[in-house]
Parts: sequence; structure tokens; C-alpha cells
Amino acid sequence: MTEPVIHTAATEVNYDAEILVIGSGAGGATTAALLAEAGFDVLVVEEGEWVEQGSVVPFSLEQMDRQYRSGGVTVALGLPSIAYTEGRCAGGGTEVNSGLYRRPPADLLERWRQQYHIRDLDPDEMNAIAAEIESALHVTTVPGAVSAPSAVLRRGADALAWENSESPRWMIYPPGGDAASGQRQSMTRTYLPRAHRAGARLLTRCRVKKLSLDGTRANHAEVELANGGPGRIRFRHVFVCGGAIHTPALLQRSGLRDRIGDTLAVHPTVKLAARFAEPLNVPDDVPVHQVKEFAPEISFGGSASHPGLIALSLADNWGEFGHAVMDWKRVSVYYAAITSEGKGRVKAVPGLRDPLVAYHLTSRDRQLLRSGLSRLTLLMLAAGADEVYPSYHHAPVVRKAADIADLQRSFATTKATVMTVHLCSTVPLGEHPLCAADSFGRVRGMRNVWVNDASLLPDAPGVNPQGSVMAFAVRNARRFIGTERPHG
Amino acid sequence: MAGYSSHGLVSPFAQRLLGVDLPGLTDAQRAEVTAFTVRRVDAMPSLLRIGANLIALPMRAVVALPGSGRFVSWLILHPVPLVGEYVRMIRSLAYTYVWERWPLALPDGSLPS
Repeated sequence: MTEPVIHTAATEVNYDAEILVIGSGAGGATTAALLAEAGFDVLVVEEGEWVEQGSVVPFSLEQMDRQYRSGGVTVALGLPSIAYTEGRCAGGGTEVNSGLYRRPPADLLERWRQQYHIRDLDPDEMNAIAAEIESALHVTTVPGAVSAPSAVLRRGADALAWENSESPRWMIYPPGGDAASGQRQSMTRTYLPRAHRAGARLLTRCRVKKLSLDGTRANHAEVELANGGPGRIRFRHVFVCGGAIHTPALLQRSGLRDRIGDTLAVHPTVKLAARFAEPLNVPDDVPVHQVKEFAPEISFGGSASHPGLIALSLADNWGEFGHAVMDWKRVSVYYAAITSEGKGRVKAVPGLRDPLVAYHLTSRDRQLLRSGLSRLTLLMLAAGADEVYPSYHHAPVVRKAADIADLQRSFATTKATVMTVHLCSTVPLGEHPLCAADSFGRVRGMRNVWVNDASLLPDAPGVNPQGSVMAFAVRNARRFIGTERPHG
Repeated sequence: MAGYSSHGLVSPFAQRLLGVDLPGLTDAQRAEVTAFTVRRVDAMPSLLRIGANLIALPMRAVVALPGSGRFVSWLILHPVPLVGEYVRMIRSLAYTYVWERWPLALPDGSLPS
């Protein structure tokens, strides 16, 4: 049983804190916990509300209403536009994502260190931090048999002799438990309670409109309180951890624009639904297996598959595919994700509450998406699918390998539903001239403004990024603790 | 734009589209799905919402014309730039809602007897 965290809606006009942490997701919660434990007076502000784990059905419309930004309807404009989702609640994206975890790969860290000139990026230190995080989050594999949709990925990959593995997950399983009995972990169950125990305060329903700057220092944050009224928070240091879209947008609204928001990176995905002979659907969970034969360029995995999401994945060719919705218990949704070479932008627009987000896929990205969808279809057939329904306009029903040629001929990214859940790299860290923050997340030209979330990752990591986000957040927070002293 | 509802702009086209796309929905169901769609449009980020409303304006006028059902059917099958994105968004929201709310619904949206 996790102890309750004291969180209050923001109602006071004035607050003071030694450290203001904006955002309570993977970056913000870890930053708050470490700094509070080091003796700093920490105030965490979160735009969304506190929602108890388990009080809403995972991946449901109610969850999207309560825990996603804009009800889950957010889009990066482009040809095609890319739909994305962001958490907006205490705990941020960690409350609503799949909870799958990948330790930051050593070769990726080395590439980042060299390419972006990241100082003191020590692989041994990052490995040790990752081990700490895995312990704190109870990262583990499923005891016993995995769910049927997950077994599909393993079966198909094994049949094709493709590399696949179970991705560990933030989950506590009871003794003798199985895939369906786990208790999902997240920031509201781990790092936010830790921060609270160490004295950190958490304000919910508090939106930061801008930081007030005076030369190279920020003095206070202008906020919108829970009742919609204005408020002000004074601080000595501020850590902006609002995620890869809203962190750069806030910095830009505050007048910090140099190299900020120009390098959005994502893992674009295309999807399909596959129908099998036997019931397999698990409406409120996702598969834990991932197929990495073509990684890091292309990875395959499974998506949430309640009936509404199955209908969504069939909607692009409803006349041909719609009948499958009646068989939803025998249908599950899968994705192919690519490591994109495209780039996107986040731009705050004066007078508007939300930023403009745009993303441009390269021709290589488009080829990879086509290739990824074709191979994913082959994977489904190898796993025993009766019919495969790729998610794009005028897609064919695929029943045998020979049909995949039709898919390859008719697929175009402009006809597809392209999505992503991994957004990063809008305030990349490093000493390279393109980097907007230094090697430890301090915004260039500022003495007390720090970023510590997915924005810092230099580019898309090609694996679930949350492990990397948290490892960097812990590393940077420790560096801060080593150089600054609490005022008490 | 806080407090402003897209209902007047979005609902006529959404109603017409649902009538063509999921003819088995009852009037009450169609109204419920439309209301959900409008709520989601109203919650969209500022620029997307402005864009959706700009497209919704002429689409509202189009669906008032006789024979607009055939045009809406054509739009569903032929994703033209911008307008196609709007059609896809309305359909995506509607389909997700219908089959989460009524998982046993048939492909035309009707419930099995």
C-alpha cells in the first residue's frame, strides 16, 4: 500500500519555494524526490489533477478525459499529420502509458556523448542509476504466461526466426500472480510519495503561463490557479519538466527561444488490426513482447485494443473491414514504430494557449513505415492471423503472404493513420552548438532555469524512452545537488 | 476561445456524416455521439480547434444542400487534403465512442436485437 501524497489544488495567489519543479511526470517527479531528499525546499506544480491509479479504466475515453491533454486529441501538423498523446495529470505520462521499460542502451549513450558533446556522460554511472530506477519502480517481467496478444508477437517472431523479447515493466505482481494480476507502478506510486516524504509540496491544477526573467535569472512564475485566477510563485531555481511539447512552449512564452523547440523527435508508428481463430483480446492492457529484428530502425509491438480502439483502427476502410468489429474478442491491434530522421517544431503562438506543433517525415521515414507495416503484416500471418487489416485508406484485407504485395503497392503515408506516443528532443542537452541546454540541462544563457524531462534527449532513442528520461533526470539532479546548497 | 462551443459549426456535419456512415444509430445515439465529438473538438489545442472550425464552417453549409449525403460518402472514401483530415477526425472520434459505449454494435452502428 502506497502512503497517500498530500496534494492540493492551487488556490493561493502567492507561493514561495527554493526549487520550483514544473510538471510531475517521469522527469519532474524524480527531480522533486532527489532534491527534496537533499534538503531543498521543493514545490511541484502540475497542470492536471490527481487521479488515483485504478480509479479509471486504462486506455478508456474516461481516462483520456481525465488524464490526457486535450482528451487525447493532439496532432503534429504535416503530410501526413501525426496524432500524439500526452499525459496531463499528477504523474504525467507515467500514469497512462504502457509502463514498458528499456534501460538506455550503452551504444546509444556513447553515440549521444560523442555527437552532442555531452560532458561527463559516464556509462557506468548511467547503468548504476538505471539499476536504482528499476528497483524503485519494481521493473520486472510477467510471472508465468504472458497475455495472448503478447504471445502472438512471440509466436510470429519465433516462426520467422526474428529477434524478440519480453519488455520488462513497472509492475508489482502478487506471489503466484499472473499477467492479469499486476499492480501498475507510476510516479504517483513511487517518486511523488518519496518527494512528499522528504517534504516536497505538490500543487495540482496549476498551469504555469510564463517565467518572469531578469537578465540571466528567472525570478518567479506567473500561473493560472485552479479557479482560473492569476497567481505567482517565487523561486531560487526552476526545473521545467512539462514534457517535450509544453516545456519548450513555456520557455518560448518566457522569451527563451534560442535553439528551443526546433528539433522535436518522435517515433512515428503505423498500425493494423489482426483477427485470429481464438479469442485473445485483453481490452485494458497491452502486450509486453516487442520484436526487435529490425531495430533500431523498425520495432513491432502491441497496442491497447478495447472495442473502440479496434473500430478506430478499422475505420479507414470500414466498408471492407467493418465486419471484424463484431469479432473484437478475436482481434488485437499492433504497431510498427520507426526511428525517424525527420524533425518537428514546437512554436508558442502569441495570444494562444497551446503551441503549434509540426512534424516532417523524410522520404526514408516513409519507406520505413511502408516496410514496417508490410513486415508487421507478415509477422501477424506467421503468428496465425486469419485476416489482417492495415490502417490506411483503401488497404486490402491480407489473408496470405502473397497479399502483402498489394499492401506495398497501395500504401502511402498520406493515406495512413500515423501516430506516436514518444516525443522528445525539443531542448537537447550537450555542448554542441545545436543544443539548447548544457550537458546537465541548464538552459543556455540562464543561471537558474533547468530542463529535466524528455525534451533533453538529444534525439529519438529507438526504444521506450522513459528509462532514458529518468536516468538523465536523476543524473542531472545529482549534479545540481553537488553544486548547489539548500538555503534551509 | 475558452468557453466557446463548436457545437453550431461541428454538429450539423457530424450528424450528417454519422447518418451516412453509421445509419443504424438511433437519433438519440447519433445525438449522443455528436455531443461527444463536439466536446472533444472543444478540448482540442487552440490552433487545431481554430483550424477545425474554419473547415467546419463551409462543411456546415454543404450539408444543408440537397444530395449532400452522396458528397459526404465521397468524402469518406476520398481523403482530400485538410477536409479529409477533418472527416477522419470526426469519424475517428465517433467510431471510438460508439464501440466503447456499445461494444456489441453491428458495423452499421445498430445494436443486435
